[in-house]
Amino acid sequence: MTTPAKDTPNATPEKSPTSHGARNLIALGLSATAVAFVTTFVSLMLYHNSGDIYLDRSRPGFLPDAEEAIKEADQFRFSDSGPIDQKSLSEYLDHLKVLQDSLSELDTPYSETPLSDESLGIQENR
Amino acid sequence: MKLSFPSVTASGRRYGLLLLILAIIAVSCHNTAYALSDAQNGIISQNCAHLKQSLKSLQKADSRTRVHLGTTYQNILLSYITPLNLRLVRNDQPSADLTRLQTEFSSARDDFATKFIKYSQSLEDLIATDCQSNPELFYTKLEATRALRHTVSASVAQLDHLLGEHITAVTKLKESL
Repeated sequence: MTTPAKDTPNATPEKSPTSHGARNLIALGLSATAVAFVTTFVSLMLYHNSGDIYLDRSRPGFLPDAEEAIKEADQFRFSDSGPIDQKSLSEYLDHLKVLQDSLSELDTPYSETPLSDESLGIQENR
Repeated sequence: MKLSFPSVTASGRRYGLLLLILAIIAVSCHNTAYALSDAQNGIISQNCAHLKQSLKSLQKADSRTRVHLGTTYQNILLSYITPLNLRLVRNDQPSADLTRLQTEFSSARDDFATKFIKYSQSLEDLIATDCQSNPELFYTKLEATRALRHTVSASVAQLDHLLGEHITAVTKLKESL
């Protein structure tokens, strides 16, 4: 016959093993959440500070339109092997000039006009 | 009457010099507001919302332009210039001019991306500025953004010039065959 623990003068009450496990689990969950917040914050900060955010058009509001999608199959690629003759260089120049024309279609890109006082409507009327 | 000055220790002198340097840096870094007339101040304050809307539209338009230019330059470099130089080397006909133009075009493309990022950061900062309560600071940032936009424009012009040089060099090569 065993003596109950409460009758023993110097006996310390035993703590339930499940309370240790529950506390540890909560601590693990909170730590994991904190680590996730910190790493997300750091990665977003790097994304912004590196300038990639300004080159990324996948962010909301900057998505490309459907007609802007360039089909890979339609793109010409000059082969790095083969003869160097007039025919191959003519083909090369013909395709390259099409690209040059597409660049010329842009009317003075990044001109000063859109940021001028007149365009922004902050010119003083005299 | 003898005047006595407190002796300044070496560490005290160093500390004072450091404070002086920090003060000079702080003053030089401070955004001195552009001096606007009262009329311009009023115009900017009253039209602040419209100004910001215009700048946001410009931001999106600039982004589309950058994508078009960036992908085209990338395509030109990877699908045209580089394979041509490789083919010339394989045919024992390397061209020093075309190789130089490839290097210059590649660095000019990277330069364009760097300048665009700086310009975009400035434009974003400008859009975030409260033009209603601080029109002079807004105008100062607008001037800075204009300068950066000009550098982007210059880098685009440089790329177009290099492309033109490349086409001329290839045409000359074709005529020599």
